[in-house]
Amino acid sequence: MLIRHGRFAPLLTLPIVIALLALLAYPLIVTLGQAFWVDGGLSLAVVRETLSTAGFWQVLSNTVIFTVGSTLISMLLGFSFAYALEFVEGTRRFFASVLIIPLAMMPVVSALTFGMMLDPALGVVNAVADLAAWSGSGWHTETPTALATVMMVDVWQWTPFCFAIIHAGFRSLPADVSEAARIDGATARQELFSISLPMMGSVLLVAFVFRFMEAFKAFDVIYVMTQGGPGRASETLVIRAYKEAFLFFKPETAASIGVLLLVTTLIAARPIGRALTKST
Amino acid sequence: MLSKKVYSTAMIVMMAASGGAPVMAQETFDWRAHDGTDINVMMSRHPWQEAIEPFIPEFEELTGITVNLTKLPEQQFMTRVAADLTSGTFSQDVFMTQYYDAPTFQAEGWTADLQPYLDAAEAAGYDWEDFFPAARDVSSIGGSYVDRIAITSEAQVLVYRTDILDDLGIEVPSTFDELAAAAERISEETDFAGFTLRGGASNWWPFYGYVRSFGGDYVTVPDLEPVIDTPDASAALAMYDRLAATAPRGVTSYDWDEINTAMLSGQAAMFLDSSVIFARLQNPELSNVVGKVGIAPMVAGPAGPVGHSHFWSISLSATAPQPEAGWYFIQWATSPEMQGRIALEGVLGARASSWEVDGLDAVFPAEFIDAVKTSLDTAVISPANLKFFELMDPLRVQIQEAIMDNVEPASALEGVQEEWARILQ
Amino acid sequence: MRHSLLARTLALLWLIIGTVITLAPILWMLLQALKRPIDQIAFPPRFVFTPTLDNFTAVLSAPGFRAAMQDSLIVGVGSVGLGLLLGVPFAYVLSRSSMRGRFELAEFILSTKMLPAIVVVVPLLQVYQNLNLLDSYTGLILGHLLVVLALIVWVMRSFIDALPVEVEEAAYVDGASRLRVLTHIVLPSAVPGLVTVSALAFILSWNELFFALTLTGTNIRTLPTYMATEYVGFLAVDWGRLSAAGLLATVPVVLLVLVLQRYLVRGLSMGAVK
Repeated sequence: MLIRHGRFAPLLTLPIVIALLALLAYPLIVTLGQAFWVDGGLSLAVVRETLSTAGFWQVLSNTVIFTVGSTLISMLLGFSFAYALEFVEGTRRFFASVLIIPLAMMPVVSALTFGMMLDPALGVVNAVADLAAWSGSGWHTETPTALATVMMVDVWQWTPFCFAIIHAGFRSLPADVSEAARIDGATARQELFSISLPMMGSVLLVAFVFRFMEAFKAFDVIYVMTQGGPGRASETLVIRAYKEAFLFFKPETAASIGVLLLVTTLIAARPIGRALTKST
Repeated sequence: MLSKKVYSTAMIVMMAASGGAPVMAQETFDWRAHDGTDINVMMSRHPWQEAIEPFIPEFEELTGITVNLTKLPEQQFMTRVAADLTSGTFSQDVFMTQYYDAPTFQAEGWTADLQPYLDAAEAAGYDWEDFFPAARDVSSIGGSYVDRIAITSEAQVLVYRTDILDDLGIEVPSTFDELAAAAERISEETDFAGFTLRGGASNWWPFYGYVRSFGGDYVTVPDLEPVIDTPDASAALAMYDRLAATAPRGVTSYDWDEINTAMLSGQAAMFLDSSVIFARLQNPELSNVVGKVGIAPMVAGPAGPVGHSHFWSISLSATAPQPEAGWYFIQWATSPEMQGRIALEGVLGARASSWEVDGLDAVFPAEFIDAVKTSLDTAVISPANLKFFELMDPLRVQIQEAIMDNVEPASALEGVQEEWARILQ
Repeated sequence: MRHSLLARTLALLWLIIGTVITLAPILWMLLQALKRPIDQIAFPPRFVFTPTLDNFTAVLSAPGFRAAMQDSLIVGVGSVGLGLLLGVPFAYVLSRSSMRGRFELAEFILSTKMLPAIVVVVPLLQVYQNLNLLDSYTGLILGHLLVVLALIVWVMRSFIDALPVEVEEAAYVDGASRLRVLTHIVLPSAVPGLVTVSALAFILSWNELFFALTLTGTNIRTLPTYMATEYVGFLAVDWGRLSAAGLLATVPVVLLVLVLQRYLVRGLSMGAVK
């Protein structure tokens, strides 16, 4: 703790506070007002109505499945590629460059492209599957696979984000530590679990947190590919909020979903922030 | 915001009225009254926008008004317009509208009353009576005032592959039963999908034609009592489901674009959807099926052939920075002359005269004009109301569930009925 | 360090699988970009066709595309620049001071990142109307500030945490001012971190669609808006142009990453591992 007293710390903090207040104070007040202020008094009526709309619980569970699933799979894949990269030399730079490319693709473009490629009748994926004597899948157009398909596209898009961070983590592990472990006769698995992973706790956490937040508010991919359908198979809270606000002209319902999201995020931000603080 | 009860009567039977080409009396009209003004115009990407855009420099020449045109695909267009109107930051003078949004837009006071402008224009030979009766009704479908002028008329028609039907010796279907039988035969006996339809987000649009042709309806007018759980409506959904079974796999993601693609690429043999899709199938740069496509009127159900029709329109914003100059654009764009020229570009308008303009037979085959006219004779528009899109969402969901065989048609619609009762109470 | 042949082979195999999955959609886009419209929707999908460069030339010669790329660059650089200007000092406070409420503020910033744009955009439009920010570079840069700020604050904080505090203490002892310590000692040592976080934040701004669509008008159109509006028409997506434009739009980002790769790895690892 270097800056203990005086005005220096508040001075450095002031600009960010002003910027956030100017941008967000009014929107937050309006959003809270729409959600809780009914006919001149505080009320939970809007929230209650939102909770009782058809399919709300399905939408909520879709959101949880999508967010958690997408995040975990991206992390696992990103980690596995980064770890595999530790076993190769020479080609390392090539693989590192290629595996990061999807991050540079605009989500709208990749969603449109995947939608066309995965079209069950016209798309290239099922056409190739057909050559392999597999009848293909309904992908985003059928209930059992719709949510998994949009998750898959989201994972394709964002795995590079996790990969890039974890790869950097592996690269920065001090070489002498693992060599010492090796000399002591540690197996690769022991080395990974007892030495590398503990040292990379904060890398994994940073990747996890920011990946989680992108998954939580994913919109482009789902809306472009399915608009939440078929049925409500891939509808998430963000998709529902969009429809309420811009299609049904019900800003108060959208606001109450927004408040729900905000409360979740505030609750989630606290332990995440604490964890981030402790880990470094 | 939804407390104001503005309902609109919407049972409009369209008639292809005939009328002589109007005499232009625009010599007396001062088109230069707003010389030097800038106006903002926002359009959804649409054949009408494609047709009129090249003529806009002529308008600028004629009036001295500069047009700042923004064009967005329908999805983005609706997002932008909704976000700006809701927040009160809408800066457009003129924008495209669809009749479903009229009740909400009028209740919120987002669109300007056009009657005073129309009165003035009439004196200059605008010829309001030249618009089809249904198109005139659409102008005030919001319930309280005239806030939109129709720019297109679309009807639900049957489009089919002549070669496939000929090969199998199938007559062009004129009833739903014949249609379903033909679609099933094609799917069984050839490699083609017998039919293609909208199974995606806007499946409620073609489905309305099915429901009405089977004698049912969505809601009553003007009381807005949901009546979607009737046996007639169930039979319509069963038919939709039966036809969807002959469509390519993945039909639950199909909207206009995908129907069009399925036809263009030669995958599917027939569809029953908006007439506006047809022109594209005859474009050799895009289409594998040029010259193999026929068109026929809406097929009949137990209650006759009752297709869904659609009118895009343009409106003047209530907060238009330049309302007078903005109206000039609307008056010009919807004038008999411009509607005629746009028809020659392949987009049929809402004026009777634009359907009889010289040279139209070179643009459209006679059977197209006949089919659209015949379909329009009995076509209807759906009951617009304040909660239109909110109502359509659960219906869209259940149509998809029925197509995927997750639920029986009758119980699917019972679910919709319940949800609608809750929304409308 | 050497691993067993088996381990190396398995790793290589897995990386090859990953590369194929990563590249397959991009290769398909490339094929689509080289096709004429009638080949793009052909069934079964065509792998053999007469290639054309029409789509690439059409996209590159469209004034709108170049203007959009320029707008995207301005907004990306602007929002990252502003984000660093506001975020780095606060990250420093977060790391080095004991000011009360700093973590609560940091957590709030983190939660703004999770708040979907859809929920706040309507009141935000009203704020913009009042501040006269609609359809201006400043306006969109401020909008994208919300997209990049949390990342900048939290990642920079962990970088600064990782810097040895002794150097700064020595400087104080030598009589340097606080500001001088920040600008002459902390920031120069945090360069790899700054580069890393700038690159990631730039990508977030570069790909952002919703604010870019709603907060702008006729003056400003970024690449995602341009692509979602220009090549998606009524009844048809222009697959050739969309694919060509989509591939071309990645070029600046890929170049950025390649140029910065050395910094990126060093930067990411420096902040994250102690």
